[in-house]
Amino acid sequence: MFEYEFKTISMHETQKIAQKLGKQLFAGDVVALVGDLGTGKTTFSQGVAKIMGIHEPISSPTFTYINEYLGENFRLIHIDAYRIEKSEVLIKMGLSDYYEDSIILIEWANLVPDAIPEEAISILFTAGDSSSSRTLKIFSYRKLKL
Amino acid sequence: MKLLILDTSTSLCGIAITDNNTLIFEEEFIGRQIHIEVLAPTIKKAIQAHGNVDAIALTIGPGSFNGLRIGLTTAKALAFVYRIPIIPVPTLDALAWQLDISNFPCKILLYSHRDYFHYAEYFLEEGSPKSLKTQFKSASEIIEEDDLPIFTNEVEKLTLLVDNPVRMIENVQPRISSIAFWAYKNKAHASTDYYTLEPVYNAVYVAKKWTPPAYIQTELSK
Ligand SMILES: Nc1ncnc2c1ncn2[C@@H]1O[C@H](COP(=O)(O)OP(=O)(O)OP(=O)(O)O)[C@@H](O)[C@H]1O
Ligand SMILES: [Mg+2]
Repeated sequence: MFEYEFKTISMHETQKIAQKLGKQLFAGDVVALVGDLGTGKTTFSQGVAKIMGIHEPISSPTFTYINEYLGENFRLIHIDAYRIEKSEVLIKMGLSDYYEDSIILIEWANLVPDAIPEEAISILFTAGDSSSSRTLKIFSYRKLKL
Repeated sequence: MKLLILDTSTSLCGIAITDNNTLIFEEEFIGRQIHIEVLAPTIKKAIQAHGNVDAIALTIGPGSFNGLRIGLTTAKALAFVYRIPIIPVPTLDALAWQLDISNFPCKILLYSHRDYFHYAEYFLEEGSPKSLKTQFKSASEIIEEDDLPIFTNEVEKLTLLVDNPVRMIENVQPRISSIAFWAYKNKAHASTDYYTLEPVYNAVYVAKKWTPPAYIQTELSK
């Protein structure tokens, strides 16, 4: 397992890391985003979307469960599991059908572990001492250039 | 012998007609999910312009899951109606048959998804490329196996995924000409068994379930 840790002091910095990671993602990649409310999961997803060539605003999909965006090379599937709570919902929806041409980002991934493949890239977001400091801990089964 | 050639195994979608190895029609499309839109109309156009064909040759896999299904379903429907055989061409062979003989032995890699490639080791036997078993592994696993030169349809992805590829990695793309050439040389593989002919997926991706890394689990339980 490869591990990377970053402390950021602005949403811009968090998005910079997201863009670096986003460049190295391919269809079939699933990124499991874990962390409390407001720690930056959606902010991070916006960074990934931007580098994928998605110009629409990425909103928090808390009320829609799943949003789909067309990027330059891949489709982006953005999921918020906060209200889904059950892995079966995502499994039955055929999440794995997206692996061939999509990158999948899942906020609150810890609530739906069974719907996520073993070789997902996991990111833990934690709030720091000041209101704009965050820690990102990234765990990846493959080496990343971050 | 007139052949209809179809290749839907990657994001390229090729439709061609050859007459005794001479190309008389060829159109190529590139893009995600384009196959389903362009395949049938282009085949219709090709057959209207050049008359019926004697057989259909198509790349049977490995390759894009959806691409292979679309290609073979279309080929089967046509073959059934016209009562003509299908010649299934292994995708990796179609790539290998484009290389100059000086390049063997080598490995040929066809990108699948994430960091996974379909691949086989190729060597020359009586002047023709022959392969060992087709496998399915991650980029770093394949690179670590040996120092053979590599040919792949995704050079950029492969070099991004491996650290220091101290070896030759070169580009090779599916081409109608080599699919046709393979088909003419291997006419004996022609099949009219429309019901049992299936794509060669090589590997179906079955994911094991995720558990959060230990560190995250500890943090979550706090
Ligand atoms: N260093 C930082 N990194 C990321 N976001 C930051 C940072 N500092 C401040 N912020 C702010 O924190 C908020 C993070 O909200 P965001 O919607 O990304 O969180 P979330 O983890 O998706 O929450 P939820 O669980 O409700 O979906 C944003 O308003 C962002 O501007
Ligand atoms: Mg959010």
